[in-house]
Amino acid sequence: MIAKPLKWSHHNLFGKPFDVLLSLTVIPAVIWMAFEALRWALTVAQWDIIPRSIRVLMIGIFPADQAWRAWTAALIITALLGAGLGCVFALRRHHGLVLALCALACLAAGFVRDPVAVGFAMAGLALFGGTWFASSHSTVARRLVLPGAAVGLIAIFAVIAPPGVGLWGGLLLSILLTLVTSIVSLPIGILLAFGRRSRFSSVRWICTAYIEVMRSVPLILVIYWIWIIMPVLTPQLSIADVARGMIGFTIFYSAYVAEYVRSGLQAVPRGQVEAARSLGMAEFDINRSIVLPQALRVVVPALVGNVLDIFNAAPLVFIIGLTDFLRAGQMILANPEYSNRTYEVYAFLFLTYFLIGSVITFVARKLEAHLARGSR
Amino acid sequence: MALEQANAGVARSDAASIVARRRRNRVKYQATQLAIVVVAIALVLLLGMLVNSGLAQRGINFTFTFLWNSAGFDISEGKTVVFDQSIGPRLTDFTADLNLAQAFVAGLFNTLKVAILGIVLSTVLGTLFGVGRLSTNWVVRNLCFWVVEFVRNTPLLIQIVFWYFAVVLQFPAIASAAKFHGVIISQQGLYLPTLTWQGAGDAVALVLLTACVVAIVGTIFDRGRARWLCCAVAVVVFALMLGKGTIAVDFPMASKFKASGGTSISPEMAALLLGIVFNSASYIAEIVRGAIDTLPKGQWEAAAALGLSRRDIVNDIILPQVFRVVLPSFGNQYISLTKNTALGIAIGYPDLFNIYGTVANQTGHSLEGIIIVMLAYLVISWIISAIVGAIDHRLNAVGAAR
Amino acid sequence: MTLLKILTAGFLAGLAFVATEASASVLDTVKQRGVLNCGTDNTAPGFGYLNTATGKMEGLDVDFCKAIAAGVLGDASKVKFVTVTDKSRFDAVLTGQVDVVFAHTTMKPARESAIAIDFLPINFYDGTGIMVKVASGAKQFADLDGATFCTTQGSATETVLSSAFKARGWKDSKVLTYENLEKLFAALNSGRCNAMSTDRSALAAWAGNSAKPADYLILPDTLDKSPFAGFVVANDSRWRNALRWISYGLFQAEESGVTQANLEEKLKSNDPFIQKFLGVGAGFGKDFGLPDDFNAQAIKAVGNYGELYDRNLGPKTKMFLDRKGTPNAPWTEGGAIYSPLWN
Repeated sequence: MIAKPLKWSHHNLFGKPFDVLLSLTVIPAVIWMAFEALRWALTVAQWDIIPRSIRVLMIGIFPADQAWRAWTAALIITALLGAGLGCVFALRRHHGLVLALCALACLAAGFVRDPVAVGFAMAGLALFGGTWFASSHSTVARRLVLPGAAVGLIAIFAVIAPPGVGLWGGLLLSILLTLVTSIVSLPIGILLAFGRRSRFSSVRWICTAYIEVMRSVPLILVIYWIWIIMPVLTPQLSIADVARGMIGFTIFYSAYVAEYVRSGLQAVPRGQVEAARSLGMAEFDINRSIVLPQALRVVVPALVGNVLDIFNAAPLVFIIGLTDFLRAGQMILANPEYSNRTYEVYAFLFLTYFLIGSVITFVARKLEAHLARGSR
Repeated sequence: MALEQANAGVARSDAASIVARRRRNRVKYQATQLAIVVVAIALVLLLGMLVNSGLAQRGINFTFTFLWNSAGFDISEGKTVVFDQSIGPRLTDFTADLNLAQAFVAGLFNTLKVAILGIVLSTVLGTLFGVGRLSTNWVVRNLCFWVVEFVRNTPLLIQIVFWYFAVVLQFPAIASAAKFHGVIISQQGLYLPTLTWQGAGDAVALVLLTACVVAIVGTIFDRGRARWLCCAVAVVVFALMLGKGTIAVDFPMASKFKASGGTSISPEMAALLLGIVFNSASYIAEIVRGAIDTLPKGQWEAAAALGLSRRDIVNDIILPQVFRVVLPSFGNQYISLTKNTALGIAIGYPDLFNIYGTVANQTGHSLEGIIIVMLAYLVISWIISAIVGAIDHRLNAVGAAR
Repeated sequence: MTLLKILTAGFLAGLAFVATEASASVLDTVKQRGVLNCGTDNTAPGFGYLNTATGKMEGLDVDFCKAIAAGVLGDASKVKFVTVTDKSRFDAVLTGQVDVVFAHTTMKPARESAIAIDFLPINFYDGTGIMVKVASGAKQFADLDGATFCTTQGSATETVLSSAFKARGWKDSKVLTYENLEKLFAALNSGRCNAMSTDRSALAAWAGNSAKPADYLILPDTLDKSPFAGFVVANDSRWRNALRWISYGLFQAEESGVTQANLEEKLKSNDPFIQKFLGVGAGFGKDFGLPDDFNAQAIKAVGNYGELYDRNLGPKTKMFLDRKGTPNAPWTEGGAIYSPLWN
């Protein structure tokens, strides 16, 4: 009975003297840290601050009576995510189990708190699972995903814009910013990547200069610069802070997308282009229907990783006075009454970011594995 | 070329028409080229003019002369350049009497200080993490994995705030801090004893000191015959220096609020450094791991069959190959790291961006400040690219020769 | 390539279109737009703060924004709050993104001369104070030679501290700057800073609301004055004058005893000054391009200065700032809240 764990630990923990030393120092340290963190979370921390200010954290200064708009947008986003996920991997039984457990947790939490929130959360989970199931099991549904995504995105804006884009805040703003930036920067990045391989040296030069400059300056500077310069350029149009933040992000991340796409373009064998040329295809058609699809296929995991980078960089919009998720947390702490809840709020922010980040990383890894399998 | 030679055999009239078509194509190509350049220049000029007129219309004065105004604010750390009667420009602590250009220099100094230290430390730590993920030790393997996961999946801004408030500022205050042979670790900073030069501070001493440092660096890094030469030079120069003065150890002394003497790392710098080093190390770890994964498995097996220990395999066979592959990715990571120092603003580290914020607020010259800071970052990034490119070139040239 | 050319031409045309001149007063722009864009902080309790429980903006600066929206547009709800930070507040008004900023900004000449802004009447008198932990043993500013001071970035306190050190010949004192007060307070608590220096109003609020108010000592020294005022873009006297007199109107209302509660009554008053002041019949508004009843609208929205002070900063709030004996009292009680002559 005991032989197996012993063998395992001998092999994995105490194989060599150096390993013994490492194991003996690292294991107690890790246990101690975990214990301290747990002890703090369970006995010292006063978590009441989180439910009390959850709305500001989630939607910032968005008017309270319009919260249903934010919820609806969240539902659409979960549905789109589910559908996207379903295109790549099938909903299996254990996935369903996880979803059911989440639903149970929501329900359990909900009997104590706001029933409306629970309703929305359950609906979100149901939509997520439903679209996942649909798109993984039906080719018709899969064909509807792209147009559905376009409609969904327009719907999100239609729902969420009326109270004023300047009111977007909290986690909602972080997510919208990430969505808009990752979607808009994709075509621009592709154009730039092709521009960098253009026949015309001037186009090459301009695209390279743009990409290199953007990759050399900090994002926070680009955002602030765009925020100042746009109203000076266009005094007639008042472009909302949020929009200018998104423009700054897009300008910056397009350069990164261009680099990822370029690495994908390089991976497409030269012979394919030559073969297509010899068939008499136009240059544009070659790029569109032969080079680009293969290149994008290679770089999809990197692009998903880029989405995570954008999401993690979203807090930088604090510099132009926007209230994103992190800033919303700081706004709560700006109230002197809550000055002793710093760790609670930051722990909540950290865990939420980690959860979302982990999901994105997980999807990127799965995609990578999936595509690697497909290319064999 | 090949095409032209092939064409030589074809009928003359055909050749002539091809030449004509080529010429037409070339003219068309150059014309488009010209058009693009003209349009691009026109666009840039137009934007410039628009900005200029927009600024004038709003009464914003666009000028760089404000840089010579006296600063009037203090910066908590950082050296700047002053020009006075001494032998030339020299570094000194920033004070409120100096001008705003010197404030920017102090910010640049702080940025470079963190960036250089960060690049060195994150390379070492990142390689350790990357190799650690392939360790045979279960704990090390998983620890490395989870550290990398945590760091990559959360915003750097939160990480820096965490390092600052939850780690660095939890150290004991200076009065009750542990003191170990002049090393003081406290929330006022990390203090280390330093070697100081006591004696004549003239040009000769400066030259000798530089020579000594260069010789020592050469001794450490040169693996060829020059090593012995460097060593000998170092000893001789050192002896010459002792003839002109003495070298003393400067121990930091704790006083009521802080320690003086020695050298110190402020808590802000320590936290920023921890934040960006762990962050970059995580990305570097992934790069290293990816590169190791691409190496053929057979190499491990062959080396193991030769009886090499795992550590020898990693050090002598795997890592040298990995470094040759990953340098360009490292270069990108170094540039990100340098840009990330701008987040020092979250914990009050006076880097270039932070100083820009203060200057812009005291003088209102935001746009000019942004241009200065952008140029500074551009130049730093280009220097990093150039250095990494040169090392890459050299490594791969050596590799090709083998 | 033709596509590129067309795009470029379109872009140029678009730019030319949007870049046409605009030199009307902000007053006209605001009236035409029907909404006032008012720049405030949202992390400064008592001045501009988003109440995380109700989701509404509140504070002295916020009420001034509302009063101006009421005065100019006749509706206090026609105001859009744009969050500005200590760093972005001047750029926001210079680039026309906001029409006016009320963000607990210290009025000083360097700001009016170097940055193209004009200040409005002072709406709060503050001073640069110092707070230490009682345990540090410091009793006055002079005890802090060599100490590390923390303050907010971009604030006037930065230069105030520098000159205070210089005046006393202190060489070892350092100034650390953080982006917000929450970090400042955390740094003081952790011991990184020996002293936290910012406006006294904020110090009182942070100490008073902390878990152990007795742990903190606000030193008696006031390093320098710190008068707060809103500001608008320079060289637009129509806009600036309109806002100045709306602000003075709030001061005058307190002096004349007009409150939010008795406004209806006062509107029926026979006193010719009150009638003119509140715009019953001919008022003061026309010459400023404002509605004649702008004072009545502003008072209806937020009350007179005394009321909005007590609501946001007074002893009953979490800010614990009594006006009595401070410059924030009306001049009739020895303070500095003074409206010029109206009649």
